[in-house]
Amino acid sequence: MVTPKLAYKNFLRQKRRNLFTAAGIAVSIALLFSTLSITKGFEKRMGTELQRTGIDFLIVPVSCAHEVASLLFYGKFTPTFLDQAIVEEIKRSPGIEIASPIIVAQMPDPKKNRKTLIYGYESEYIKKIKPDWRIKGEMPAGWDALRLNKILVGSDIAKEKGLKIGDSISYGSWTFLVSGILERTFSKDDAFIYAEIRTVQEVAIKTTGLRVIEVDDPTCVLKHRITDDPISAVAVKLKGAASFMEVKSDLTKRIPNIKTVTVSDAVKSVSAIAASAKTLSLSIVIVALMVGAAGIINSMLITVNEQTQEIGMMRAIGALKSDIFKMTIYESLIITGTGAIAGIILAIVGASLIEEIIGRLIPSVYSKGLLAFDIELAAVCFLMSLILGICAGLYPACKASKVSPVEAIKRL
Amino acid sequence: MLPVIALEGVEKIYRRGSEEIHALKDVNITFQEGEFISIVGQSGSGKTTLLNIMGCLDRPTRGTVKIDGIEVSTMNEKEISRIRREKIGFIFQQFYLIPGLTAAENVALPLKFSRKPIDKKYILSLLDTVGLDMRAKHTPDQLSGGEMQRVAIARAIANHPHVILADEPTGTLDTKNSMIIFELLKSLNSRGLTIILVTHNVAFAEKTGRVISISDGQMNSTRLDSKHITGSI
Ligand SMILES: Nc1ncnc2c1ncn2[C@@H]1O[C@H](COP(=O)(O)OP(=O)(O)O)[C@@H](O)[C@H]1O
Ligand SMILES: [Mg+2]
Repeated sequence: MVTPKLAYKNFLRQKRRNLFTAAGIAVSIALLFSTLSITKGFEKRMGTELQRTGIDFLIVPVSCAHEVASLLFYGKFTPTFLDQAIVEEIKRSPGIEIASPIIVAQMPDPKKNRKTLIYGYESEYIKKIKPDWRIKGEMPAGWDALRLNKILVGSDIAKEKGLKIGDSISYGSWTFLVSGILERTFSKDDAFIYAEIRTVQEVAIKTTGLRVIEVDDPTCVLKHRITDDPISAVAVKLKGAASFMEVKSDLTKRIPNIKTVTVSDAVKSVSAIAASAKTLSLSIVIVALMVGAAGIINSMLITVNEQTQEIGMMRAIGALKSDIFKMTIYESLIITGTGAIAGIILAIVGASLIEEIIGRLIPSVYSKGLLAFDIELAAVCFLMSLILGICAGLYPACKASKVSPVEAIKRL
Repeated sequence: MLPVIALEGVEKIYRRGSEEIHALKDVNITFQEGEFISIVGQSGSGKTTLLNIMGCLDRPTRGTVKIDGIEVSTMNEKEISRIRREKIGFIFQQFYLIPGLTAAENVALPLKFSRKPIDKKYILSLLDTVGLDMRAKHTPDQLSGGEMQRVAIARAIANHPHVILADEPTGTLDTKNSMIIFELLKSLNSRGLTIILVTHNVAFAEKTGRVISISDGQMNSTRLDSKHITGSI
């Protein structure tokens, strides 16, 4: 193998120029690696997370049902509420095993300049709704929990604020007592706070002007009234043999202005958000890669031009056109390969920063720890860089291989 | 015996736009094995063009070129590359050593392009021939101009060529180094190698077996010293 070594020596000769070119590739490969990692991590997580839910569907207010549902699954405050009274109505439907209300409220965190979500569940159903949860301490339950504002905190929150069981924590005028800590779930759940539903209802009533959809008049566009028992959704689990379609039609007939959203519906709408985010970032990556490729072509053409006589010499002493061609391609590959390795390292090192940015841009889709090193994706990115290297090297390589051996003898 | 190189009715016309330049006009010449020939002539007279054609770096517009009796004008690129690789060694005015490679690696280059195994001892013996075996690991930036040209000579003979073509190899060197290079070429010739040297140095030309002078693309040959003609192997 003559040419790889020659190409490598040549790469070193134009070190600065080549390293700048490689840096361009590094940035685009870092973008590619991050995009692929996040998408892959997200898809994987979504699959397992949704399978883990113990419920079959959610009942949500009719407005923007899919958005509401996906936001519930993935964590966001929803401004529209139902009245808890409908839970009893729902339970009357045959085929329903569990119907349990859920509420989401947001708690201002002035120190962090952001809002922390607090979820309210009926404590007796928490095992059914979140079968995978492992709790240190206890899920707040009973009158005591309400009186003392007991909460369960996600592991990220606990870590961030250094909370232990028995500690108290304040959000604005609210003070809570930590009665349990949720062990790491590696999902969005790690970033929230949980309490008995009554506790959260109280928070919601005091922090928002609560609007509840008026259920008496279905022909009216949207009427609102105030409720003492607001809920964001009702989690429903069916009896083994029950048909979802039958239950759904029964519920929507009897209770107006509600919508049912199944787990797979939620997956679909969240996937749609994720897919469009992926498309957007991949198109940015493609543009970045093209700019990088242009950089390589430019740099290599300069090199070929500068080394015309030397190439002529090599042709004169026996190098074949294909030797020169290969040598130029190898050099291009060294540039993109170096760039790719640097880019992957850059992506991993800069992961936390990137996570932060993406987390702000698309909070409903994103959760922490998605950007982990994945050898498969690293290989894909490296391969991608090699393909890029070959493509970008083609034109300069053609030019180089066309250099006539006569060039060697021409006088300067 | 077949001549090493034989040109017959060779013409070279360069076209620059509508302008035609007759760089060589009806050149007929043969070089026998073991000859040491110098080519002299004014700048622009066609010396380099002639060397390019003899070395199969370029094709004549008209006429035939035979290397060891083999007609090369009709060969394709790949075959010509092979002829160059196997039969001809080049020495250039600008040396053209590859900067990142050591002297030994530069010398080994033609062998690599020929896909031949590299024998370190052989490479060292080549460097020894040019008096630089101690500098095998040095890179070109650690060598003087004269030393670089000597490495280039070792590179030119690495593939056991039949003929060495040198285009003003001392053009950029001082008198002392020019002498060393010329003596080196002479000693290679005394080992039987055919040497064709383009030079402006009259003193050197006079010491070669035959001087061919070119003017305006036409040539005339003079025999100076018969002892070099037949080749003293
Ligand atoms: N590639 C070329 N295109 C056009 N004209 C050329 C080319 N190479 C050489 N010539 C012309 O051919 C003539 C002979 O050039 P050359 O063989 O380089 O002469 P020398 O080596 O004796 O100085 C000159 O007039 C030169 O300008
Ligand atoms: Mg010349």
